[in-house]
Amino acid sequence: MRHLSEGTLRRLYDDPHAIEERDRRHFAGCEVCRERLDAIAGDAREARQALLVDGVTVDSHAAYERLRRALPESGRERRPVRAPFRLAGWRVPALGVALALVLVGALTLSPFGASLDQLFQPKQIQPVTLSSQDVDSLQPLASYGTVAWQSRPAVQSQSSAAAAASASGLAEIQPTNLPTGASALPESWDSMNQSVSSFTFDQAKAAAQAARDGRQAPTFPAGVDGSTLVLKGGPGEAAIYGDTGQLKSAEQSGDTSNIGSVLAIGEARAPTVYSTGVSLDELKQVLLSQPGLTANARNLIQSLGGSAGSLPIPIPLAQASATSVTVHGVQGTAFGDNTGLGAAVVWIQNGVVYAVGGTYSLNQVLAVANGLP
Amino acid sequence: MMVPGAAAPGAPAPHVTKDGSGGALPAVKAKVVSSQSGIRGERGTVTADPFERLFLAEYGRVVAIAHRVLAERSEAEDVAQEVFLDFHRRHDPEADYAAPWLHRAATHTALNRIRSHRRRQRRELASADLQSDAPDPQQVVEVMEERQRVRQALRRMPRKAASVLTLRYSGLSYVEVGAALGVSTGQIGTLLRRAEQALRKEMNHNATPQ
Repeated sequence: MRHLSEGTLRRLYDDPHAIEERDRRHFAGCEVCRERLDAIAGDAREARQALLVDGVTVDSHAAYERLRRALPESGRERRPVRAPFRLAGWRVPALGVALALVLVGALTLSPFGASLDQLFQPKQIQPVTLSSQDVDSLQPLASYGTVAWQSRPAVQSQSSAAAAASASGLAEIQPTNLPTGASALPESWDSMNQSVSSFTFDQAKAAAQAARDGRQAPTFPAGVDGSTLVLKGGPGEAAIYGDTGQLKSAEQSGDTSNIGSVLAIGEARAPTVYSTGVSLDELKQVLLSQPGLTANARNLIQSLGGSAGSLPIPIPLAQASATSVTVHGVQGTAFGDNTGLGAAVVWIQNGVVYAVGGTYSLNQVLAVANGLP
Repeated sequence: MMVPGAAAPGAPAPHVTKDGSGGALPAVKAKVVSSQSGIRGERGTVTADPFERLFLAEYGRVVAIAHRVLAERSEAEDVAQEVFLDFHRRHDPEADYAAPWLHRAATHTALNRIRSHRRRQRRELASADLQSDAPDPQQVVEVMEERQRVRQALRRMPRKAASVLTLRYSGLSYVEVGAALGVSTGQIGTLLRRAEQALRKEMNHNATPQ
């Protein structure tokens, strides 16, 4: 016989009419559940007694007058907030879920990323500044092969931090250093599944695209044509403090002036790239053989892996400044400033990529990052 | 069949347990002296301003929630002012999430305030002094110590557990608590049960006043 859950019994204590008839019948004939209800009722009574306070009488009109005096003369005046930064060439909604997860995942999960990513699991973040010309010079690389998704990344809403942690298999996000007021914001949690994509080099496709573009066809080293890179990204999770409804509207409309305060904390397993044959050096050789690459684009490619196992993050030249910071004792990359318009920090630790960002100052964002367990 | 939204204070007859008590909550909302309907502005005139309507409709409840945590009226009203001011700056008063947002913000803001442990202790002691003309000063001190113990317990509890207790014992229905916390109504019974167990453990842990 299956007894009633603790939650059902607690609800029964408050309101016997609120549970299902089947449960009510069970309760009526079950001595065990009646005994359990007595224990539950005891705790409930103690809690009620503990939280008992004197009655309060308020004058809401007088209170409203007080509030009105504190309001701006011109009526509602919301603080204009703009996106912390936007990556040229990729339409990146730089707030909310995207702020946390895009930095962690999209650069490596997009077709562009899949064509560039490394044969390794990165250990640290390395920002690389790119102009729109740099980005343009990299675009033909997407024609060097074919991207296929075995499992696409999908973000799923979760009911709690614990549920997000359970879905992602990562530790529960429990910030201890939230900026003043952030904890009063609505919270939401998301998880992202592990995605698996592959990129198969195709010399004929690359040559055809080069001919269409009037470029010289690239020459792949022996063994590269037909070889496949497999990229695994995530799983990941994010906690967002802020009105996600407004965030979605802002992302759709492009108007970020009314999003209010937002703080996003994301973490994901660092992406891992496997290869069916091509080595990291061969991959770089292929990518660097693309004619017309700018110096910065070449730097981006050459920074893949490296002795420190770097994950390059392209930073738009005119959009954001990146600085090196220390987070939890490891090197991280911070974006933004202390104006409060937007800041973010990204770092990798123990095979997990972390990102914290929002409409707060860089110092506040760093405090949140360092306050994560 | 489930009855969503039931269990508001004073609602259906509670189950009678062995000791004869039931689970219905006492009336706990703050009493609003000048506007019960929440739609009247200048003392009796109907206001067209959505924010003012929202304020008049929810102010008493927001104060009650903060007061449940802080046990101090003036500070609870400060919290309510802060919460409404913040809402005014950033949100649409006609948004469907307005009331749940205010309830949640009141809870979190009040819980944040009890984190400033020493400041609170000083205030409570001062408050006890002010009430020293009460019939039994020893009793006043005991009440203040007990309140302090409760606030310490709430401070140590997980945020969600402290929130569900605050909201429920401030008189919000299961539906309203669920909306404020962003969880389904069906989860509230479980959350509430766990929170009450956690409160008992924290109170026992803190049985000796510090």
